[in-house]
This record gives sequence, C-alpha cells and structure tokens, in this order.
Amino acid sequence: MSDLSKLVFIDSDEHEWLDTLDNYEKEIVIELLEASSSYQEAASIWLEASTDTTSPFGTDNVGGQKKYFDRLQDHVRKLLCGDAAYENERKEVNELVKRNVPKESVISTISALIGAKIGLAATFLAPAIVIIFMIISKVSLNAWCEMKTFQDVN
Amino acid sequence: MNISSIGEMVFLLGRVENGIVKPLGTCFLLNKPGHFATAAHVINGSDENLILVGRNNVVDGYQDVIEKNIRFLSLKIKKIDPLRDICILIGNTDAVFPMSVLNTDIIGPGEKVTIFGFPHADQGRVVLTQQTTEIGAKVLLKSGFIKSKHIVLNIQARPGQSGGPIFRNSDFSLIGILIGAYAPKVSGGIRMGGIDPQTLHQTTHAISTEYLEGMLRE
Repeated sequence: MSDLSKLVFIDSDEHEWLDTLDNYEKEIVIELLEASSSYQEAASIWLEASTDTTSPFGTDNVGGQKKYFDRLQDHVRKLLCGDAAYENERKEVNELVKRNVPKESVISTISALIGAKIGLAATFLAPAIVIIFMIISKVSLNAWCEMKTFQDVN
Repeated sequence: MNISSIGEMVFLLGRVENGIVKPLGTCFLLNKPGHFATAAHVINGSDENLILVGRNNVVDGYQDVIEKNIRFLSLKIKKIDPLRDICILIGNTDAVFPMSVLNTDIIGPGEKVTIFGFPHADQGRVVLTQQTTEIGAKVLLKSGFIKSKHIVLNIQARPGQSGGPIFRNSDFSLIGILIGAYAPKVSGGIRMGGIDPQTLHQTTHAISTEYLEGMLRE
C-alpha cells in the first residue's frame, strides 16, 4: 500500500487521471462528472448504461440487473488496501509504479488485473477505475481504505 | 449486394460457454483491417470467449440452415462506449470491408435504408436476414445524462439483430447500428414465452455512426 500511496496518489491532481483515457472516453466522463450528483454515480452510469425507452436486442438482455460498480469498487479496494486475495497483483502494480511508468500504464494494468478476476474487459473498466482513482486522489488512499462504506465523495 | 457478399461482412457474434456457442447478436466488418463493430450491450462488457461465427452455407443463393461448415474468429474489445451503445472489436485478420462511414445527419424521415442481422438468434436461429425500410423519425435519446442521435426505423426487429449495420440505400453508406426496440418500460414488464409483448411493434431504434467515427479515429 505504501508504494502505491507514495508513488501514485501523493501530489496527484485528480484530473491527471482523465488524461489516461482516449478523447472520446474523456469527453463522456467529464460530461458524466459534471451532471452526476457524485463521482460514484458517474462511474455507475458508465458501467451500467442503457438507452432510455429502448429494449436492447442482444440475446443476453440483463438490462437493469447490472450491478457492476459495487463489484468493481470492492475489487479495487481489495487490490489497493491490502487484501490477501490480491497479494500477487499488488506486487505487480507496486513494481510498475516504482519504475515510474506513465499513469496510462498503471490504469491499463490495474484494469486488466481486476478485469481478469471479475470477467470484464479492461477497456470497459478503465474509465470507471479512473473515476475511482479521482476519488482516492481527493481523500488519500489511506482515508479511502479506512472508509467503512463508500459514501459519496464529491 | 447479395447475401453471399454480405455474408463476408455481417456475422453472428457468439460466446463459447460450456463448449457450446451461445449467439449474442450481430457484428460487422469495418473499413479498417480486422476491425468489427457491434452494439456495446451485446457483449455486456466482457470479451471472454467472444467469437465471430462465419458460415460457408450459401448454395445457389440459399442459406443452408443445416450446413455446419462454420468458421470462428476470436475477437477482443478494442474500444467501447456503453453510453452510445457502440463497441469496436478486433480480430486477427486482414479482412476489411470498403465502405463509407457517415452518420444520421445526412438522412431524413422517409428515406430508404437496409438492415442486416440475425433475428431470433436468441432462439438459436442463425439466418443472415436483410430488411429494407424507411426512417420514421430522428430522435435524441438519453443514456445516463447524455443525449445521443438515434433514428427510428419503421420495421419490427427481434433479439439477435442488435449490432447490425444500417445502410442508406442511395449510396450504401453506413449511417447507424441497430440497438433495440422502443419500450416504454424496459424492465419489470411481463414476458410470454420469452417474448416481451411491448417490443412487438414497428418502432426500432438505431444509434448514429457519428460516434463510431470518433472512436475509429483514435
């Protein structure tokens, strides 16, 4: 945790995380952050989006049953806050940040590691992880890990 | 365009689960080698065991629904925009389909368009189907807080067609991607035999490929 805290989040402007995204993703995330009542809501909308008054015609229609945000936040917490289930992955991330790699690499690696655990694609998770990292940049990693529940931080 | 040549561009998208290919929806080849597009909800955020299913089953213009000569190509998510319901997939192939990618700004109500896809794929039916219809309306629909450009197609679509391309008939340029049917209440309604009765009508929604253009540029 200390490596991550020192090397990733200390002196990190929350908006720097946005620059790790493609332009089309960044534009959407900025619009969501401006319109949402909380950062958590913005991340949930990205992960659980559906078009109003439209019944999707894929065959695997899970519609409003998607609850990806809570699951993702729980796994980010396990990775960053010292849960034993993520020990190997945490070592990998710590090695990466020690080498002072760009934030894009940190986000893509963490997205891939968590995506492999929860069966979702890194590309899909990255914008939501960026929003979670923006929250952490505001409150510090230690404070975020200590939160019993992840109430809205705005 | 005949069904054989369209069969080299429009494909069934599926996921291998317990050794069986589960049909998910429709995808189509883009004008960039190895790149395909579909509706984001079709793959539901995951590219695990995601495959393109191609069938060499056209005999004298007829699709042989018994023929099992199937080709597979593993696909991964390259870009995804869940708010606009668009996903770009990439596979290990040099295949490309030359076409003009435009958007719904260039088309108005009453103009003819053609749709390709796999209706009833949820029931296991794998028949590449062409439908020709006209634009009923251009609408802004919201996802989250974000409004996007859509068109209403005056035709009935069915599960499996999501992700199918929509071409303007006058020049065969790509203008949209089918995403589903108008439904006043998307969840919590009744279903009969797996069918949601509120989707049995001729008001089908498609997203403008304006947003696909932006994703392809990056």
